[in-house]
Amino acid sequence: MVNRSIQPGFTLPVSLQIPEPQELIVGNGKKVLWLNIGTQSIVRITLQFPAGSKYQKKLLQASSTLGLMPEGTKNFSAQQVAEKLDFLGSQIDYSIDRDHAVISVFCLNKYVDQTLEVLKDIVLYPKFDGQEFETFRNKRKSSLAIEKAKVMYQAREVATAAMFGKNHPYGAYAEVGDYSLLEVDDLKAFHQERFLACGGLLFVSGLVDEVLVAKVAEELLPVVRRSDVEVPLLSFDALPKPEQIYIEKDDAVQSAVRLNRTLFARNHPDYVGMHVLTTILGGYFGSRLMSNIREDKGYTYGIFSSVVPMQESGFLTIATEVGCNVTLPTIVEIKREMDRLRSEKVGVEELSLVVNYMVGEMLRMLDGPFSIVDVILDLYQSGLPVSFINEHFAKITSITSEELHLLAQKYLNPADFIEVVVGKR
Amino acid sequence: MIDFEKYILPNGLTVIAHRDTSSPLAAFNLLYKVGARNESPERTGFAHLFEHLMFSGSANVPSFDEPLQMVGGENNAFTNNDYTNYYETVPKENIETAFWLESDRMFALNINEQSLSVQKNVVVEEFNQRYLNQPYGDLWLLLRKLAYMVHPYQWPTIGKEPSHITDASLFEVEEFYKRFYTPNNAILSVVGDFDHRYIFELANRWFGDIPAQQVGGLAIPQEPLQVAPRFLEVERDVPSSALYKVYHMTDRLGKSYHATDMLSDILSNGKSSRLYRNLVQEQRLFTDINAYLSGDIDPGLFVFSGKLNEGVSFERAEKAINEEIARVIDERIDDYELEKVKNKYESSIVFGETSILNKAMNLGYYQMLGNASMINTEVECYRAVEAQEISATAAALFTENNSSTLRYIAKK
Repeated sequence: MVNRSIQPGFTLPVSLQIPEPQELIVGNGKKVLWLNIGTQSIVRITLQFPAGSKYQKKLLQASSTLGLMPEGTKNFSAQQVAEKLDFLGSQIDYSIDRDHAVISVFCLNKYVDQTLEVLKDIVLYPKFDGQEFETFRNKRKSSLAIEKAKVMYQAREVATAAMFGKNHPYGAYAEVGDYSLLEVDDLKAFHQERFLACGGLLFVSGLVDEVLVAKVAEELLPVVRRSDVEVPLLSFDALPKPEQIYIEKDDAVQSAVRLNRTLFARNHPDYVGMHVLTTILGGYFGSRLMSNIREDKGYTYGIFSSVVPMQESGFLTIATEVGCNVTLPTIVEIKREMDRLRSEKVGVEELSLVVNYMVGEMLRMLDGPFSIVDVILDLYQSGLPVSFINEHFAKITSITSEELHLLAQKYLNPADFIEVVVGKR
Repeated sequence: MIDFEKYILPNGLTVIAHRDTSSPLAAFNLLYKVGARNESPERTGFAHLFEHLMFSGSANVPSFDEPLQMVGGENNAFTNNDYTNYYETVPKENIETAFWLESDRMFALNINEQSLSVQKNVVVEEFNQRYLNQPYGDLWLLLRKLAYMVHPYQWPTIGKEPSHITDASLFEVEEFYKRFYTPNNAILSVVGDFDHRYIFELANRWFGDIPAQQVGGLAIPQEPLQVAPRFLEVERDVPSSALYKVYHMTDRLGKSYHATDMLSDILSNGKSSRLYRNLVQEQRLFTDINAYLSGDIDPGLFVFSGKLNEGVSFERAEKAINEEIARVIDERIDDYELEKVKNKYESSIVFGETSILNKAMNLGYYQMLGNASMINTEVECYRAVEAQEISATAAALFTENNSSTLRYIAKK
């Protein structure tokens, strides 16, 4: 019979194997990234444009531009675009944040040509048809109204605005009514300026070779970006003072709670350390916040904290949804956990557990043929090389309790955090 | 094509091993054949509550998560109406830790008043967060109750109401554990860069000495044939009105299952599908509409769900859905449209195979249905479906007497 009281031995990698993407120079010195990876005959083509919401002149302009691009092009109607992609079993994902708009195509190798034909039209020749815009706007109004009815969503919007300022490009958020102020010409102009004129970073991965990559680049050449450098745009000199915001909802069963503070972008020397510290605080199932507020007190289904990097800044966020009657005790406990990290050093055992967990997380993050693309694109937007992952890894595995203690004292003072409650307390 | 080996331990535990040489990670999936359908109507939500208690530690493992995190692993679990699934991903060198942890909690779970009381609170907050404090959150509480008279699918996995969770006793928890958490009621699937003999050896070492038990659930009452349409109207503080209409369909192993699944895809998979194209894009009656299967093992539901556009009446919306139903029954589905749906299956299967965890879960799921090799033959079942089968399936399925309609009215 096996002796169950003895835990099996284990090992962890001492370094990471990261496939370095290759570069192909096309056109007049434009750089395309590509990576031959995976075992299935599938391809991912990704274009990352400097077309996030920070560049928009009207609220919802950036996301609506991206959203309407597949709804009719020079050569295909909205219906034909959808029809062709569905027939090939190809999928195009569109995502947008404050800094970038990303278009990613996933398809079987055998359908690359046909898929590319559609992609090219979507990116280069969107029509921005008035009728399609009306349908699109109606759908988006409805889904935004539903999102805004959720306490979690509302708390996230309000907290971000409180950190950066409601009029700051990193803090602004829209109301449903803002869709009515938008016109098709706004979308055309944004597409012209941020997609066509700026161009995007092209990354091709999957079971691919240079011939295929060159073909993709050739088709998309007019929007392959000309310059590596994205110039900082924003000022962070006049950020608002931390405040406490309470939005009452009479019918709420739970309150959404958010505690946020601004931090910095990925290239800041304290970034990796804060990643570790935030993981200890609330970044995994056994974290201090989860242990205290869920597993000990049963106040919530979940609570987490994370570092959110942006291109020109970043922030730390702590979020949960709790029973209305324990809203205030929860906030007290969150602050207690911050204070504990500021006053006591993290013990050796807890630190090694978190470090090992994070090593596993990095392996998971890099697993499979496609997830690595997201990691590399994130680095590029911060002006960091792929080797940064190795540095990140080395820094995580060598960080000390003393360093974390200093970081906690520097960045985890509850007085520096804005506090948002949406619900009842 | 996914090659795998299967082995059944003397105590009845089924073990499946599939080699994937491409990943530095391994996936470990343990499925127990117990879900909300095995609950009594007086104690609903129990299977899911029990899933939470599985993380409270066991005889030799005071904390389930810590040793796993220490070896770089991660885990989670879910419960649905039919089964409960626990899974880990670990660096492949550390796969034995997953065997140790999962076997210990199958062998001797640590159940006590303290953890039961905390997890009751956590689950009630989950109930609040996901079912009560979200727009349309109570939808499945209403819809299941409307569509089922006797089958336990009449409640969602979270349970009928929070009091069923708060009333659960330690004795009931222990009984449930004895009855369902036994090796002969479980399926283990492991995917990673291993020889299958090594996985079988580990399975023997860690699970081999756990005795088989009599698996004793209540007989699951089967739903009688519905003979008249059912209706329900509710008014809620939500941004837009929504329409839900469900029909009783075949079971997962039923002959017409694949045709039914393809029917839902023709109606609503992707932006080129009929419902989206006609009712959202052209007629603008809905801002969003879907048709899908509830995904159960026993006879489940074929679901229509749509958010009404501003100013559209329920009568108009229902009529439009009925027109699409009539079309799919009366008009021949052309080869192009059929091919499109089949291509989508092919593509989603190839993409699904890029994830080791996804493969491990699917192997366990198909083994539960009767044979893990269905993971390789399902695509052929879809390929073999013909256009007239889909129309015939639709004709049998979409009768008014087989329907339940829920009007979810936005309070103005």
